[in-house]
Amino acid sequence: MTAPVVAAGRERTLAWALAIPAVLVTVALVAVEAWRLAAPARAQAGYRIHGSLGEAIANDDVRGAFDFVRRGQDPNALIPVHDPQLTGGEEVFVPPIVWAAAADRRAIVLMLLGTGATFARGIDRAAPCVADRLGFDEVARTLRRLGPLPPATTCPDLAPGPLLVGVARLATMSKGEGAE
Amino acid sequence: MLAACAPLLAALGTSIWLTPYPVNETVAVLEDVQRTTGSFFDPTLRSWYRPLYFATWYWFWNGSGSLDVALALFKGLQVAAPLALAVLLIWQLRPRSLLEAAVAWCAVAVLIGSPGFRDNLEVPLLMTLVAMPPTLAVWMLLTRPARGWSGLAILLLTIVALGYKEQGLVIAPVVVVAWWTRAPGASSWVTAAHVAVTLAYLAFRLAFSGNWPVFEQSMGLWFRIIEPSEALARFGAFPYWMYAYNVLGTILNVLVGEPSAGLFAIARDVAHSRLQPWEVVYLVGAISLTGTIVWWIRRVCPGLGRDGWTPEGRVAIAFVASLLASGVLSYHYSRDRLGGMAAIFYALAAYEALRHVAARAAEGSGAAGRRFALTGAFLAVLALTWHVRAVGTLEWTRRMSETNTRGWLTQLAPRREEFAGRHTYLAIMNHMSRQGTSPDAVRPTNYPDVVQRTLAAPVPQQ
Repeated sequence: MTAPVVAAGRERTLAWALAIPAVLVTVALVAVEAWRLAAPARAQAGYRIHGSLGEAIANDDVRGAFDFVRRGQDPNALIPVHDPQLTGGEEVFVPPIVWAAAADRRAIVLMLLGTGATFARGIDRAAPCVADRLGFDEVARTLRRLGPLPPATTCPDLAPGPLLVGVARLATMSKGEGAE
Repeated sequence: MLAACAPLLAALGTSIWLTPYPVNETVAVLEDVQRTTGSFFDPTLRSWYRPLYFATWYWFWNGSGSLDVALALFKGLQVAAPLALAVLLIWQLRPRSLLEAAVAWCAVAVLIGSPGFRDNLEVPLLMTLVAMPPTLAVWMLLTRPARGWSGLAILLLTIVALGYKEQGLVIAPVVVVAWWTRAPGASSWVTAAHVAVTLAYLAFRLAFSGNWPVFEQSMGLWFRIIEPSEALARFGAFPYWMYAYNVLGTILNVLVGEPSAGLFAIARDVAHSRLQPWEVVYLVGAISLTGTIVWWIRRVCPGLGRDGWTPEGRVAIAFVASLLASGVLSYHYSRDRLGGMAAIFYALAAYEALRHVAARAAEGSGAAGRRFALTGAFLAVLALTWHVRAVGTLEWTRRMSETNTRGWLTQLAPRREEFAGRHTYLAIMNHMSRQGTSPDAVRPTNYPDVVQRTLAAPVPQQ
């Protein structure tokens, strides 16, 4: 073979050495992009499907929790929650902000404060106290700094037993007194 | 070539389009635009000067009469600029053979995978990003035969780049290099006009430099960040060492991807034996390519000027000039984005250097078969790392989007409290919160952990 022919063959080989990685990466990219379009819930990170707002809060998924609010769920409406320690395993109804405070979910606390958590009821105002009791100082500070709490809010006396069971009773008591 | 790059470019453009504006930058910028109407060109207001950036917001907003339209137009600019840059690069390289096409494909990946390019994709900080296509367009005009209008076009493009950010000054040494190396489009009057514009600009800025702080922003110093107050206490008496560190930091970031914003994060991870796969990709890609470019510059430089100027030699000198200029312009603080202008010439130099290596290896004799095989393997690894880095840039934009969305979800309440007295700020923030919390915002890809750690590069936190 003549030198130019050999050189042309070598040039082609080197061209493929450079091009094959590019082709492989591009084919992989096209496949991933097609996957993202075809199955966004599986292909895109953080697309978790939650059964309830309480579950999204428990999983610390701020975008997932916000999806419930965006779809119309009232951020102040009581939600059913249960936890072996916090509720003794039974289902109780508490505000989302209290559940987020009890779970040390600061990002979700901030999201709820930004989307309309009002602290109108005694049970809402228990949120920083719950964080205090559980040692979540930053969440407690955040709630006291940013929450629309009356200046002289004191922590309510809670019944003995699991913390959120006591908090949930505040709602029952308030209803009974017709104070809300 | 464009078709080969199209999937990545399309995905990149879509990702940027679907990235929400961040709450921490955009709202304050728009408040500024509302408050300081007409004073964008006043050099006494700030130590930095980006009048066209603010004017663009102003024109979009007031021209359309709608903040939503202005946001969409601005996002369009943010998408168009990087895509235009990639298209211009392909146009400039004009591959004519299979080898040149493969090298050009790699050069596009080098551009997109560079920290200087990636960091400029941050929405809405497009000051340098918008200046990058004009810079490459200037280079294209300089290296082609002059036409009646090209001199004026070069000057206008430079002024536009300069109006968006000080980094536009990088064009001036590039024009001087083109003229010195007798580039066909670099006439004496164009060069003289650039020198005059640069001197006038510097005189104009320095005339109002009395209130510039010694240190303006936080800086990375070796392994930690120092705030301006600490820097002032430690280096205030003689800040030039810190300035030199920042200059070198930006230059090294373009060449080896480290330090990033002045921080030697990869070196720290090496020292603590916790090197991440993406760091390996970064180091292998950057060191192998920069090493190749240095080798190529040493080969093309000795004959420069004596036997006439070659296009290769011209690119080599322009790259060095742009690198030094980018470094010097970042003396106040180092950020990856400040190497953006040099990243263009890094990609151009990568094209020439890789083509040179391949051509030389192809011409070798049959006895050099082992060296040929090694060269092929070297080129394949180098190309792989840069194409992976380019995909990493795409994923970086998606993680930025996630960061921005989280910012909107978690920052509304604190900002309502912090900016309670700033009604314009709050009105803009409340108006923008819908785009910030949109369910359509692009999300990162759910890659397996090892792929994620291979693609990932740090995302600035809000």
